[in-house]
Amino acid sequence: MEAQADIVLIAACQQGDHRAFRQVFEIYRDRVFSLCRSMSGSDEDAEDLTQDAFVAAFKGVGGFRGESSFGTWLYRIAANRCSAELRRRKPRFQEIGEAEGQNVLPLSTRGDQEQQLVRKELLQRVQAAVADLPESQRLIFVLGTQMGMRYREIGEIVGCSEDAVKVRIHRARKRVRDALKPYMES
Amino acid sequence: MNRAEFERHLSAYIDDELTVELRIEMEAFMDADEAARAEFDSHQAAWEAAQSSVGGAAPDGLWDGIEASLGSEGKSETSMDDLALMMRGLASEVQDLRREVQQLRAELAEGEWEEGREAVGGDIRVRSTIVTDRPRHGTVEQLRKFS
Repeated sequence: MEAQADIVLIAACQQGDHRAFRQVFEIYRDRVFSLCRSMSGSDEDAEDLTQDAFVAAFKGVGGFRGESSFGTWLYRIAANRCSAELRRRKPRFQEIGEAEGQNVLPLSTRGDQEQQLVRKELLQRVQAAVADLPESQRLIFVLGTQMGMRYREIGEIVGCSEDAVKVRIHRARKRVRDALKPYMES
Repeated sequence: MNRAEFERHLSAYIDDELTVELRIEMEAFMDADEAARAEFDSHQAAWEAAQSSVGGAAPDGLWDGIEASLGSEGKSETSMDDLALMMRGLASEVQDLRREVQQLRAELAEGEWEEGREAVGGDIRVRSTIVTDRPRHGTVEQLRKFS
């Protein structure tokens, strides 16, 4: 179960306590980064977007009223930042392996090398397929499929009903599946 | 259940977002329809591939950038510190003003005044000047300059 920032920590953040906010950052940093990475397609952009999201969250934490979970509220900020940035420019697709230490297994045997190449190519195709999704579908796909969120929470983040999430996520998933199908069948 | 309904519920089935009754219907449909089962298998494989492409942990050093931004834009840690600093700054200004006023009062008390009248246009203006060893034509504003 995902860790959540408790109300005491949030209250301290609302008083302007940087140390409390550092604790909040440590709780959510990986998931926010993962969201930004999947949306932007590059580590460099993901770092900038993650920092922007947390700074925006700190500035706006006084307005958090507990109507949703703190995580949902934070992911909404991160998602909005990503969407705004994507509308401003096309995301850059970064090859797997350019990022240091990402998904790289130690090379020992020829079989391992081939497996690693296959894995690398599959990951690249998945990233390309996700990058090709329309922005609204990409966000829902990332939140649902890659971050494992429930439809209700996704609906709270993007501002739509669970039924709408269900329809959009299926459309997104179908597009990704269709893009991967020829490769996976071969 | 028909094929269109099966397609509509497929992602929700994979994501475990269906009711128990619907899940049972979906599984019964797949058991009876090989094409539906194949459709599920290909979606499942793509879902697993997408899950494995999730970005890794956030890199170290991210907090430094955030803290730098919070330092210039964020709220101060304690508002009392800021208030104390403001009061210190205002206090020194008040002290300077008090010193000036005291000096002026002293000047005014020590000096002799001459009153002159001059006609300007159709008006008669009264000008008071203080007579001291300092410049003769000193008005109060000019005395301030020389004090």
